[in-house]
Amino acid sequence: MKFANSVKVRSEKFGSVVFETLRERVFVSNTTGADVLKLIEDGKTKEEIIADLSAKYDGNESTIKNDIAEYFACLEQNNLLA
Amino acid sequence: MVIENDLRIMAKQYVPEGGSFADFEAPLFMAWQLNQECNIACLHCCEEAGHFMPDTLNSNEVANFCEQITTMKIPYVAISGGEPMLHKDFYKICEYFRKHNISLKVETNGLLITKEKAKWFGSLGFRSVQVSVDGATAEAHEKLRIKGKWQPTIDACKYLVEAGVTTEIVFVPTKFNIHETGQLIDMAHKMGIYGVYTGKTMRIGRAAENWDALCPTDAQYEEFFKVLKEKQASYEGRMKVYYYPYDVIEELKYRLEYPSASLLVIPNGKVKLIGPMPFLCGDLRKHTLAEIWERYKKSWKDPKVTAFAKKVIADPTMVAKANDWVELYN
Ligand SMILES: C[S@@+](CC[C@H](N)C(=O)[O-])C[C@H]1O[C@@H](n2cnc3c(N)ncnc32)[C@H](O)[C@@H]1O
Ligand code: SF4
Repeated sequence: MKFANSVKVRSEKFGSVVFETLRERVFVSNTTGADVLKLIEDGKTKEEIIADLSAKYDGNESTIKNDIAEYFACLEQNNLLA
Repeated sequence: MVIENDLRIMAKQYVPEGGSFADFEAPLFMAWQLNQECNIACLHCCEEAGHFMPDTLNSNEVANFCEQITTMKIPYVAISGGEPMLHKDFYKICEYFRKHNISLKVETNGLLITKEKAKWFGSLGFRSVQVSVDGATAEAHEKLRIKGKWQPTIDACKYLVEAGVTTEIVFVPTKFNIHETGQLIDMAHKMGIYGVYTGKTMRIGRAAENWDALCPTDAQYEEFFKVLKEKQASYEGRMKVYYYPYDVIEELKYRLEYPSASLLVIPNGKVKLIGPMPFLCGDLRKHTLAEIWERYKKSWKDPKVTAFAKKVIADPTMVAKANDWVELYN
């Protein structure tokens, strides 16, 4: 996965800030969301991200899958992905 | 693990919902007026641009500032002026920012953009190039932009579009060009422009001096916003028509409550709190950018700032003092 060219992500104390600079829209994310954003920046696939986070958060994989699907839908809806 | 609803769009631009601009460790946006010199002399110029100012940051200071921007991970920089393309380090600065993958916008009158220059913009992948076009006809544009020829400006836009650059047009309404708003938007769409941006003219700098000759009437503004609303709807999904419906006073009221996570650097390296107020909260020759960010956060609570803002809100003509700088915390 990849962010759109105009999207810049920066770590903050509260998590991350995502700046879609073409439409000049700013999004904020807590530390859990920031983990997803970091994995996208690293170019991981959806499956790899789910696997990584399931291992890290030691949770039910299907709940994590749902959470991440929603998160991705939000990223897509806001034109943040390439 | 809970991540739903974590990615929230910030309701107020650059300010986290339920939070504050002060939560950010660095600015999100840097507006940099590179120089004061200009090749033309617009009647409305809020920067009163014209001649080169000897106290402009030198090449070493410019390089140092650029480095601090990347170190602080500022994601988005807008370069303006004066006419920024006249600055001797303009190309070097842009190349540096793009090399560091910073989103970059340039605001220009377009007069120095040849086919070759447009290709250079295209090769660097700018966020956008914003060209000022103040009319759908040469007559209207050239009446405001003294010595600024319309046809070469339009050609510049065409070259940029051809070179694959996201090209935007900025239009400033006055008594004598406001009636061409709709025509200019239609023209922009035919040219392949990404977006047209406009809003009310600010009573600052030369616009303040020429206010009676420039300021559109209430009826003209009413028609202007009606046209913009229609055009915005009709071009939806095809071209961005963006207009800022508030005047500078409304903007100021809003910013007092929600300062943005952005800094405005003027050619001599001093840092303004916001365009329409005279206050300076730092100086790149004396402070690091990180220090200036802390001073900026503090400045919004300074009683001098709030008192001045209240005075301007009561008497909007005081915005004309925005270029008579006042240093906070010497
Ligand atoms: C100061 S200019 C600098 C960049 C370049 N020289 C140009 O004209 O595009 C930046 C933008 O501010 C706009 N501008 C200048 N004076 C203004 C005013 N009094 N109110 C609103 N916009 C203004 C210009 O038309 C231009 O689009
Ligand atoms: S608006 Fe731009 S082009 Fe016009 S005088 Fe000011 S700096 Fe120069």
